[in-house]
Amino acid sequence: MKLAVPLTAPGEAALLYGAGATEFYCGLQTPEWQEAFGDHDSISRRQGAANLSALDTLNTLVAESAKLDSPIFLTVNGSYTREQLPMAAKITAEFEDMGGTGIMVADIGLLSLLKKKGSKLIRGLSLLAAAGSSAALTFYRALGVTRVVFPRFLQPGQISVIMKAHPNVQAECIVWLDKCRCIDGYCRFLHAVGYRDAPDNAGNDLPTVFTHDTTYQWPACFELFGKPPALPACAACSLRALAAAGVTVFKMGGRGRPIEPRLTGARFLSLAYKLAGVDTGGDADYTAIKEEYARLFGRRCEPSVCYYAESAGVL
Amino acid sequence: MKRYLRVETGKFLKDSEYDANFEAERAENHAAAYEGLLVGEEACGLFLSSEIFISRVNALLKSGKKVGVITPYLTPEREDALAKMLESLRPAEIVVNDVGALWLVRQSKHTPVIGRLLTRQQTDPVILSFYQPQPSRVVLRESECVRLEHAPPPASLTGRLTGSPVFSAASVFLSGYETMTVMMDWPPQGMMDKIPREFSVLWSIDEVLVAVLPCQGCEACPERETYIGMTRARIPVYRKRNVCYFKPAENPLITPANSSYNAFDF
Repeated sequence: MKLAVPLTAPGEAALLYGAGATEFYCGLQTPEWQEAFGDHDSISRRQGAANLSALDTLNTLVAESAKLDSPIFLTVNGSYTREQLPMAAKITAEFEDMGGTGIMVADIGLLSLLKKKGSKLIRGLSLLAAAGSSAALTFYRALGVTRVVFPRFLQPGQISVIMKAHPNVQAECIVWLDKCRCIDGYCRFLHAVGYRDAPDNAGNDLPTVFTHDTTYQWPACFELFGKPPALPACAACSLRALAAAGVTVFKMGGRGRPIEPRLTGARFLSLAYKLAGVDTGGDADYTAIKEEYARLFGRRCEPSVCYYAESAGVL
Repeated sequence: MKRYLRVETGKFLKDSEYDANFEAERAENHAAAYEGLLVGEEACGLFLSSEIFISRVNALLKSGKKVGVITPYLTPEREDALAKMLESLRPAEIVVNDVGALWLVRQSKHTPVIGRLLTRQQTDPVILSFYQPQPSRVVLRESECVRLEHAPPPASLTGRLTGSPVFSAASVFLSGYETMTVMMDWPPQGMMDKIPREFSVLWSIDEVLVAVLPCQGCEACPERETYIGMTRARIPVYRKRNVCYFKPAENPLITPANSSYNAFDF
């Protein structure tokens, strides 16, 4: 099983590798970027602990991944203004010089620039590019893309149709955490900003203020659609259907979360992959997968946290 | 200045006298004579394979009217339907909301316009708060470990609000075309002075798109405007089909009257 897992600090790669991770990805937001464009999520749709803050740290993660013989991708999947593009390209070039494997990218301008410069980095299309058709992949392939994270609205059957037209593209799907109610690539909510009632010890009416937080507690989308369930979003019961559709890399979300939930997720998915009989073609034990989920997270899974409810348990 | 009337797809499909009605409506609204029509959807693909839709658009085009056809983000099923529709339509402006659609339009006789789903604008209603008075600092209870910063707006967000990523991308999207047109949402949120002169902007002024929900089938999808909720910025958000939006005219701080927009198609 190829399992891509996020890194946020040195020392994590070996632990996650031991739990089943086979490749890694991370984000970077340098002080230079922050000074120019702020410390919000513009470089990679995540902020705070989800990004490394120094090139030296990134260099360390590249070295640690190389020791494990595992690829490492840098997430530069923002959509950049003309002012931001040169710095995004510079960061990407520095990652390439370090020996990084590839980038996860969504911006057409950045892709075009990398192609012109002859970058050797693998260009993986981010989920945020929302590539949901064969024609979209044709367009992106012309810009150097060889790998794609399919958007979550596609079901395995639809992915299969696209992959038949692009058998040489490496396909990824997110299978753990961060299931959004909306389509990620078209979302315009600012996750870094939300609203809350300011505390008022005097007992007056609570004024509403907006906040800038790094933990995504009160974005407007939560107000409108409700907070997501406390259970981790999961596609364990669809691993086999996704593999049959041509997906070869399974990806865990959760960039910026503590190491423990990532370790738990990696172990669980590795077990689920075996129980689903993806490699062996044997009978899939979806009951055992669901029981393990309930044991680990204290509750049975439910449709609201199931990524591909239509196909879960199929095949 | 150009004015386009965006037409409800349901009305366009169901009303067999649409063309005559359009003329009547146009006469009624003579103060705002529309130069063209916008038909289609950003997040629904049902109309793509509608013969009625195609024949009505072709009839309007044949009569000399300017029509922009808004096309949705693609799935494999929609891709096939769009390819067939492009073959059947007379040359028109096709508003693309998916790079796959752009790819198909580039192989056709039509002219692409970059649609709102590709502009990557930031339109969260919270941004409206930035234009309103706010307390300068908030202190939280100790038990809630969240870092708060100042308002309005957080200095760290200014980079987000002073430009749109679409223009660097659109230079790639639209290279080779004489006219580079992008359809964007009003309000521009600080972007007015950041629009490159080589681009023409088609503003959507009646609704500001904030999110798109995945298709759950027609039964779960309201054809008419449905109220979703009120954000604490006191902006009501609505849903029609799978598009979530708010109405900018409800906030007087950001109406077009407060901005300069004369240089752009409107």
